[in-house]
Amino acid sequence: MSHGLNIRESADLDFLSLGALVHRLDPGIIPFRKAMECRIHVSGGEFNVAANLPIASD
Amino acid sequence: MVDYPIGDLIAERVRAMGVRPIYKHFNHNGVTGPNMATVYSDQGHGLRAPVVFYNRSNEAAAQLKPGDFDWKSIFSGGVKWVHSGGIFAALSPTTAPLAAEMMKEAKVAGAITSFDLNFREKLWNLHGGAEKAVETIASIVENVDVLVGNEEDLQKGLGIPGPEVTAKSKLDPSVFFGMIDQVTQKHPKVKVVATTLREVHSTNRHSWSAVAWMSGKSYQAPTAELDVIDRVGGGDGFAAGFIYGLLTGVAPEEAIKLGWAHGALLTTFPGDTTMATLDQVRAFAKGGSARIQR
Repeated sequence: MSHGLNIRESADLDFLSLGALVHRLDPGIIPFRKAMECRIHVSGGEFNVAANLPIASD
Repeated sequence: MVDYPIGDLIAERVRAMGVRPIYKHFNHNGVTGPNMATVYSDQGHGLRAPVVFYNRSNEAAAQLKPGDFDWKSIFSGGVKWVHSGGIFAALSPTTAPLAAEMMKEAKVAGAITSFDLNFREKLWNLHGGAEKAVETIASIVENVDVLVGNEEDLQKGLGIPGPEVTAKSKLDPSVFFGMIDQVTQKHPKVKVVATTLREVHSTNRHSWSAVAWMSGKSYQAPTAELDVIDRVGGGDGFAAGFIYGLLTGVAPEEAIKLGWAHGALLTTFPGDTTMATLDQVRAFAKGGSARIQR
């Protein structure tokens, strides 16, 4: 195998990640010190990778 | 997961993204926490850089510690791939030992393990500084197969000495590849090291590539010129696409392109998680943009 990884063919879990979930407040192009409203994004590096996989594999 | 309205908001998005949660629950005291962390991040524009700062005070995740999760039960049905990262490991003196415990159990369960170094000096400075960071990260990486990190992550996170070659640009992978021997000498179980390469021309215009070293061979994605809407999450998008490629058994050069393509597409969406379809990722990975420079 050219990448040297021996990946199981079947398992209950394809991917599991451990990390902190955070919420990101995003006022767009307005700097925070002048912001009056913002979007809320749910994030966290480890969550983001897990969240991207089911969509990518649908 | 904290049982309060912000926790509910976050849990709803976790469900919406198709992720099966395994939470340790915390009760909010109504005043000071524990809290789900807040990231403040404006987008900037053109010559004005994005500004990011955090409120991680009394963060619930920082209280996580070894023994909080029953890994043997969680892995009992089998698990293909297990992942964590350097920001979580840096949250408190107990989070890195928890990540190390998980990686060890994941290897026992026969999983591939990956770790995104994501070195954040300000976080590590709260918990013992540079030397402690290297020692702590090493306890995790000793059971890791796949590392994600750029040359700065390898230097500061793994304590690898500075490069002897000078990069011609941010897109020149020679420094990154020049450090791999030292990475594998220090951590011989590591089989894959991958990273994105990004040259920031302005907040909204980046040149973007990605490279990987896999069991002795080097791979590089093309370079794309990105018109960036929201750069946050691009690196995680790369990791997801790359891991997806490896999980689905494509060739290494295809896996690095899938990661590169997915990370690039992610910067065209607002938010931190994907809005791309698999077809869009595959099409871009095959060269679906007129802006690709080969």
